[in-house]
Amino acid sequence: MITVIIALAIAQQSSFFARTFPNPTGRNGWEEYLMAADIGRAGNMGALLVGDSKISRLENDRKMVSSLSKAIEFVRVGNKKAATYPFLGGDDFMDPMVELSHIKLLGQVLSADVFANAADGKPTASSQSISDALILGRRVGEGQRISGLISVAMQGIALRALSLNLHRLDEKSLADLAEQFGRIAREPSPLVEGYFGDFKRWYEIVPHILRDPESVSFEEEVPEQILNLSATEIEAATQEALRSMAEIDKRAREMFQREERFWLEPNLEHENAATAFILSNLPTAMTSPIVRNKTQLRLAEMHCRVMLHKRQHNDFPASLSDLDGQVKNYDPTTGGPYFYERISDQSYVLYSLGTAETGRIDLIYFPDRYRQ
Amino acid sequence: MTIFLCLALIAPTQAASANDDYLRAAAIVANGSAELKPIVEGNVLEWSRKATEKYGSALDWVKAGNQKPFVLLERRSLNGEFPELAGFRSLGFLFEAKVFEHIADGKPNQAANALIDALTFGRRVQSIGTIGHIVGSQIIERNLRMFDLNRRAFVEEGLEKLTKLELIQSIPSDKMAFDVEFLAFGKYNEIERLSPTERTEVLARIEALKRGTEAQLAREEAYWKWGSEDPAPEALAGLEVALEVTWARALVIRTKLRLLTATSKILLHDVRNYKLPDVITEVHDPATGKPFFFGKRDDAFVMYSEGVEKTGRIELGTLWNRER
Repeated sequence: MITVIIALAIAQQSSFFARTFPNPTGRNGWEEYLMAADIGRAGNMGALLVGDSKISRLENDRKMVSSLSKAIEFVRVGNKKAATYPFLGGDDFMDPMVELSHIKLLGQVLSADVFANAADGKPTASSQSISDALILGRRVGEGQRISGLISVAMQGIALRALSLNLHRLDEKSLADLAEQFGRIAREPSPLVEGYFGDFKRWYEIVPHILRDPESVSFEEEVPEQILNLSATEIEAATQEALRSMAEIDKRAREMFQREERFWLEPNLEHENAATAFILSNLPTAMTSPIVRNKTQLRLAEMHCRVMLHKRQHNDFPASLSDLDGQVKNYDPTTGGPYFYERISDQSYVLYSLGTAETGRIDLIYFPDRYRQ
Repeated sequence: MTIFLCLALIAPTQAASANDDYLRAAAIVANGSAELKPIVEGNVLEWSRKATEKYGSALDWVKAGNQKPFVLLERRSLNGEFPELAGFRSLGFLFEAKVFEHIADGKPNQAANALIDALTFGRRVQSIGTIGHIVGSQIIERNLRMFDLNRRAFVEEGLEKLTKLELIQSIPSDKMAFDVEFLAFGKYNEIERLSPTERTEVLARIEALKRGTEAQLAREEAYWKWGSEDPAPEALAGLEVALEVTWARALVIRTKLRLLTATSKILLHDVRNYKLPDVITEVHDPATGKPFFFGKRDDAFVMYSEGVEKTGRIELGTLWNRER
């Protein structure tokens, strides 16, 4: 009996869900996500993702989807609920990396479901999984900047699944996805929100960095000469840093609001060494991943509309202006149109020229390609 | 008028052959030729939906007929009149619409089934003499083009069926088309008016052509070789010209049917492995005896046969200029 109790306690302790939600409400989608992550971990999700080289990728994906169908169901249920990011708050930043790494794997499982359903001639189910993978990926990014990077990777996986199965989607799925991608691209980016979320927390930390760094778990070593400053000097440097932060914050918000062509990282230099030290530790805006992500979402909408035209007219549009005015051919990264060319009866190219920092932006991100 | 001609050809009792089903189908679409003519611009899907909604039941008859044996010239004379061929052509258009509609509706496996029915039907129509060969080839070519335009929409089950599709040996329509022509020529040409020597020469020549055609079709060689090296008798000049064009058309369709299976194999590889194959092993191109040309770039590929002088390049999605 005691052994069973201990085993249950250990199981509960190691459960992402039980650890994060000791008092579940049933109203936060993250409860389902973490239950799905628990199922994935118990089902050896990582090994399934590596796959068996003796069988095709499709068979591997089918195997994985079949083994983890319950986890997929949980994600779907979670996506239908509101979601409050659970790894924030408290005295210190929780370290959700293990949980998030498993959530990221769930994105890959959903991607496998996209391929399996498409191959089985079920485009509606396939597009549903694209949508679910995207929602999950974006919600991951609502946390901190580090989760923002995971979010970008997860959205990239969903977009890759879309790209490789776009030709297999039906008229209605394409129309629905186009609408969804268009709406999401216009919404505030969770990555931007994550950036400002980090910034907000830094307003609370900054007043303590120079006075008592350990009290706010500030791990960077404060230079000796700064620690030796007088209380007045520290107060002045801190206030100067807070004013600079407010300015950076304001400019960054304006920049993201305007979606400028040239996304500039804020200037963190300052003549006061102590102020400069504080500013050098501020979160950077990750503008390249943010620009790429937003542009990819816009491209996803355009791709769906191009393919929808193909489904209705049995031909790719000669130019994007043939898309019945459903979408504006304006690429905010360049201030001009997207590059589109009909290559043959079966193929076309569509991409953004991107910025100097991002280089060409395709629906699928190839880190080693198109670098300028 | 055509509808009555088609219905008049249907046997009064339930027949075990496909002919009656095809004729019933032709009767359904007989008055819809204008509506069933595919549009070249605009919303093809809208046109497809209207066409299949109004005339779709005709395709059920064709499908049923495809399951039964097809008896050429059953209860038919050789007077050269085939009023049902206009309807058959419309049925080919209707199949195109159905394939496209299935793809738009997310039913790629049903699209593959409709395509197979269209090709089976077209292949059988090819048997009905020279005109039938032209109409049947159009049905096949247009539906293959529809497949090619939407080839990446097809998925595992349908592609697997298409890789195994064999309509060249199982439906010997080219030989039947030639035989009908030989039969018709021998029967109706003014052979009776020829002198006994000339008549013997002409009949011998027809027989040599027939044997040569059979051997040619069996060997599937690229170039037409007549049954005899001697110049054709004057009375047969028209026949030889007709046969030469029919042969080229037959070669194009046979090559395209092989391109279909080869393309389906490539697409099936893509569906299963998320990438195109590096090489294809489809070596028998009946037009050249060499492998098909296969080239790829990123996620797109091209494949075609170089063809022969009489055909030019043969591609799955390009309609052949039949009477070049």
